[in-house]
Amino acid sequence: MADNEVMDFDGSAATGSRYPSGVFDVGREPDPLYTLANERTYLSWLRLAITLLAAAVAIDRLFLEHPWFGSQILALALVLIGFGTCAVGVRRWWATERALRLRRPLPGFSGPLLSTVAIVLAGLGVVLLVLTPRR
Amino acid sequence: MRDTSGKLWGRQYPFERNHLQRAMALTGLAGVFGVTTVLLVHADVQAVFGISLLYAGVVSAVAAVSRHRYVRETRIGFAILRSRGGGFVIGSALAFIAVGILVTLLVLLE
Repeated sequence: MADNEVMDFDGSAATGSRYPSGVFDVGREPDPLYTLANERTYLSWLRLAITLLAAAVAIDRLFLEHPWFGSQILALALVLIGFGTCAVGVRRWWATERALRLRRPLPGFSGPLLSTVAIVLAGLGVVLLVLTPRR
Repeated sequence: MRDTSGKLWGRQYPFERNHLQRAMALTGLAGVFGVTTVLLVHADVQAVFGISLLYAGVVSAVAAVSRHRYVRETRIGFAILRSRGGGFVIGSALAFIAVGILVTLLVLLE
């Protein structure tokens, strides 16, 4: 068998109970490579969200001596975008896994696009924070 | 089934990259959690470092057991997909929410 050959598992959805049932109680088993790749994509989203949290902590500590409204807002915005990024990752994992099992087209790119816009806005906030003269 | 069927997808077990990326994500999450906790409760850094080493040992042991199970299941065949659900995805997302709340408290309270 060739290394890159797709394997289609002819299993039924009724084999065992897996969590969450909203994903695994539908359709047929996809190629294991696709399932594993889907999880790696989720892990990439999770790492991005963790990085945003770390950035929020860093901004909070950088402005510890002289905190001002903008720095706190930016730190909280990064936390919120982190939550959103994690949610997008879970949602996309969920939708993609279902699509793979149901042999349907994969979800579109609107969620990640929104997330990218939010991160660009947060980046502009960091630039403004750095350029704003401190008292 | 032959004992070497674990190599169905080539020279590499298909889940190795997942294991590596899981470990990276959990390490990052644990790092942010540790730093935030130290800052939030003004904890003794040495004590937290010691506890972190214990945590790392436990995580390493769990990862080794998980990998062993993956290898065994892959050698059996496609049972790998019958036994693995989305527990890690949902669990890590919940852990992220907990750490995110801690960071929010750090920003608002400190």
